[in-house]
Amino acid sequence: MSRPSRLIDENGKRVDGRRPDELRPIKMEVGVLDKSDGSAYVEFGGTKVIAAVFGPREAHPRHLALPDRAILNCRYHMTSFSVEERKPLGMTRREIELSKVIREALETVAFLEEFPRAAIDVYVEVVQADGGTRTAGLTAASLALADAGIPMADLIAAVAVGKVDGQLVLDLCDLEDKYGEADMPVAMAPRFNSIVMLQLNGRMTVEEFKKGLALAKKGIEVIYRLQREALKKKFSEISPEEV
Amino acid sequence: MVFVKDGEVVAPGEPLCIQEEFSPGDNTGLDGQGRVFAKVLGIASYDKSKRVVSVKPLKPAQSIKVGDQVIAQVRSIQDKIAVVTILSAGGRALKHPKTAVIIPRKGMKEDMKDVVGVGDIIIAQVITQFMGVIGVSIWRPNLGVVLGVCDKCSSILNKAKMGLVCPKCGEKHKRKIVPFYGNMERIALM
Repeated sequence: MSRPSRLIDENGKRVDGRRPDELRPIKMEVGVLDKSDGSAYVEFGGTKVIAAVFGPREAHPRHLALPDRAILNCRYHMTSFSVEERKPLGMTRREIELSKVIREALETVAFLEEFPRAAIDVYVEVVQADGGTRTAGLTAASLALADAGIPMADLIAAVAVGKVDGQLVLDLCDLEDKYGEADMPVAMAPRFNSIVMLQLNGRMTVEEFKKGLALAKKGIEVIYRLQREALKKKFSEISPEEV
Repeated sequence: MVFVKDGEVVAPGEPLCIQEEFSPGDNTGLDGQGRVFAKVLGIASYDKSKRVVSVKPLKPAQSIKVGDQVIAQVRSIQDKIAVVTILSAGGRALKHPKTAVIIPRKGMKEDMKDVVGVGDIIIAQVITQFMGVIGVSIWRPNLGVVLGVCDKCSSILNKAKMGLVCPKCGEKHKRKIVPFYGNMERIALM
């Protein structure tokens, strides 16, 4: 895909017609897979992600088990057909890094000490990538953990802010991610107002960073509300006798 | 101050009330500002007599508690203990089986191999759970082997006047069996 001449037009609209502070259309669904203990499907525009959780189960191999808490295994993976050119099947360095980043973010909210010597597996599969896959993956993983009944201090909501044509924009799409000047994914536990993941590729001034963070928080509030609605919607589909 | 009504659906992290109103109960936590919050997705439940708030989870993580009766399969035997895999607890099959240990009774003289055999299905009671290690007991009358397996030919053992006998090879086995040994209908109900 070639770079468009302008990423923001004279009316202040972005390549996909959004305002700079506008999120892409978001769709969230919980409990989409029957075989896993918890699952979630999240769409941010063209980015489509499925997350599944197995566990708590016995940790294998046993010598990896921790006596005071569960271990959280996380695998972030992009399917071969998620991008325009076929991606090789194996885990790339980027996927290994993002698996670690997602795991560390989830560990801040999950009460792992309630399951000593156990393991919880989190699988994040990117079905289609159009920018913001790590934030969508983390949002989906948090929902899947909640669906699996893992005790958590809060849900995690994540979104990216970036700098495109010198302007701060919320929730970058693939074109903006590739050709923009900066990209800053932010994940938060909104109730505690605490940042659980923050990365920055490119350059921003201190002022831009502060404004970008405020913009991310605004987006995260919307995503957090949608997460809670998705979880409660699933609950409404289950009869009270089943609880 | 109560943020969520009794019977309302709550998501993880949702504030329920101030600690002065209700103390945190099952599936709830206390944050640094004295607010009780839900740890899991479920229904908020306020016990006004005990002044405790709890959350009834939508999908509880499968857990085993002390006092639960479990069905397990013997995996390995040592002199005085045996390692078992718990297959169901409290009448519910576990999706993820758990490992437990049969704790020997006080002053036990016989070897564990005279009580259970590898591959046997047993009914036991959880008596201890510490740091993820589960200890079970089979020493009460209604606990023990419900289905024995021959050490030599792996056939299911039949109950005889004295212990258990293999219908194939005729080998006699010592086991601590339950009164309803081999009653599959009764086992299926457990």
